[in-house]
Amino acid sequence: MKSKFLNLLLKDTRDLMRDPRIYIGLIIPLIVFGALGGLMSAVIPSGPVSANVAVYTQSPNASEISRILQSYGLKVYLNEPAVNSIATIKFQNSSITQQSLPLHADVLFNMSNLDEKQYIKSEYVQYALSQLNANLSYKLLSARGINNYISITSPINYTVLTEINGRIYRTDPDTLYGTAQLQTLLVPILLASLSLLVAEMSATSIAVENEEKTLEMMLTFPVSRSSILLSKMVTSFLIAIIGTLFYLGGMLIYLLAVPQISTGSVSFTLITVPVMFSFVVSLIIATVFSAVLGIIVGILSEDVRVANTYIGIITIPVIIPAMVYMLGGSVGTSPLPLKLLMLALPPTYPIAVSKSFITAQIPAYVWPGIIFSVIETIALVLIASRLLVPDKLARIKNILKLHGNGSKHAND
Amino acid sequence: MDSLYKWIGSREILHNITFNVNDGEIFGLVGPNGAGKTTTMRVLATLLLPDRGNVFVDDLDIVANQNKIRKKMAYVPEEAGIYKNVTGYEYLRFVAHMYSETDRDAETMVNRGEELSGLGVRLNDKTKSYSKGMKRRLQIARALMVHPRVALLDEPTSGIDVTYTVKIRKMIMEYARNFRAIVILSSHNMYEVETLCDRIAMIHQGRIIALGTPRDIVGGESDLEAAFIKMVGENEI
Repeated sequence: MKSKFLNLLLKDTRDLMRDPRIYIGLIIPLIVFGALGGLMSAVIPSGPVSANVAVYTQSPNASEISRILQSYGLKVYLNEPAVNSIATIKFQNSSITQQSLPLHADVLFNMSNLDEKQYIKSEYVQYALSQLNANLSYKLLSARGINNYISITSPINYTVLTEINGRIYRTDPDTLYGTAQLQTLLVPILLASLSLLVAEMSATSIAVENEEKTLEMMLTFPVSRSSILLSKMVTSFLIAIIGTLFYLGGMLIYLLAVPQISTGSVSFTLITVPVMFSFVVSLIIATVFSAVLGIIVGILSEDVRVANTYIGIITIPVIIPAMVYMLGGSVGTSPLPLKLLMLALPPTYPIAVSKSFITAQIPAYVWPGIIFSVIETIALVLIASRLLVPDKLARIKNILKLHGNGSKHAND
Repeated sequence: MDSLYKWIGSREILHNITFNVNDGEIFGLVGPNGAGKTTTMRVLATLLLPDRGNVFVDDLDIVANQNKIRKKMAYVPEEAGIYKNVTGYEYLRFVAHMYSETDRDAETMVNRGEELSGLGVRLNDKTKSYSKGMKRRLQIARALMVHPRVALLDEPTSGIDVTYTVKIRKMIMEYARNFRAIVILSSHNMYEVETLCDRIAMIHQGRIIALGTPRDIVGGESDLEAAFIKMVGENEI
């Protein structure tokens, strides 16, 4: 025997999933990030880079300099202007001998567009120039009979380890911090998009019922109001999870399409099991909180248009304290009103836990805050279910002026 | 319903509404738009609470026993929507599971709903492809298939063509007679209530101005419409 709640859930899921408009919201991140990745890969050179440089020198070593630079991928125009030149390099005219060193060179980069393509070419030029130095250094040392070049240029071989709360990582703090930054980069984006998506879906799903007069009929069925609300919340949450997967899929396409951006850091898993558990729990609660907010907006809205107008106004301020926290604010140092807002609003906690990805130590206030968020969310559900009484709704809508064109019942 | 009063804000919507309905009776609430018919229906449907007065269904006070009353009652609001992306069958099944305790009961209700709706294979289609008449038939079918003790039908044939109107009236008549159930319907169509209802309450500006059989109320006038105009006066229309 199917329970009434499951029956509601099945109906809500079916009705929502068969609405083609839902998929627009879900697929957009996939398309946008995919297209963005495609465009980025078109802009950023992915194969061998052709960097043209003009090299001016009358040094007896000019051809040698030119040869070395070419061996590192540069197209050298010796003593003549280069086509689409990325840099003009003017060397002193003296020869490279022990007595004349160091040789001076002026390097003028031509960054007319200051775009990604020019930036990468300039990186190639700088790399080639550093290798030119290394090659010439090796040549000079060899002329003096010194063949263990590496030992001379780098006499100390460091082994760098980094400890974070008792865990030792075989890398330097820079790399570690960069990796952690990459791992936490998606959290605020994920939180904001998930919160908005789930709030909008909840608000719309119940505002549609108001608009099409199906909610009134459902309220006369022998089923509790909390079951009706819970079903809406669970459906919105499930759709939001699917939406998040689409979103992450889009991000993945983006990262794969732009390999230069995704590389450059060592892969470390800094996130411990307790931190991940706390993160998932706090993210779920923040999402459910958004769903309940959406439901309240939906209940109070006469139609979808009104709901969509108000949902952003309600949801975005709820996320702002969490974003302030992410951008460097902290509970300890913030002014009292902001501190209270941060502690009171569930979206703060996934952000707070995401910061623990680096330290593996969850701040002491996080779990009491998560428990408070649960109580707060349950209280909101109860308020929402109390609101599902047409008498009260009519009074509140009159006060808030949230009527669309549906005040007919009061007159008839 | 005994001395029912209802205010929305400071405006009095219903004033001393009193009537009772017997088993197997079709009772009509008739009056112009804004008379208070829908508000009376919504109080009976447990959507609005009475501000004063008492309403009983089978000796159960509707304020104290809302959940019990909802099991005995089915309400079809005027212009009630149907979930657009579900099929007719899925809709009937959804409603059946709301009222039944077992899968078997639900299946019996769905079969009944299928028969009552008369929509045949179109029940396999999504309801967004239905005409207004088909949706209304499906709504009435879903209300009657659960065998409610009280069926509340707000403007059951409003805006529907003559073919569907005749079919819906037949459905309502047969249901009340065959199951000795109570049907309370509201309408501003005087002809409809005159032909369909056993007794009627004529409502004007939130007050019952006449109560009885259509024949009693028509009296010496040509029809209900003429009787209504006589009662409220030409200037009030």
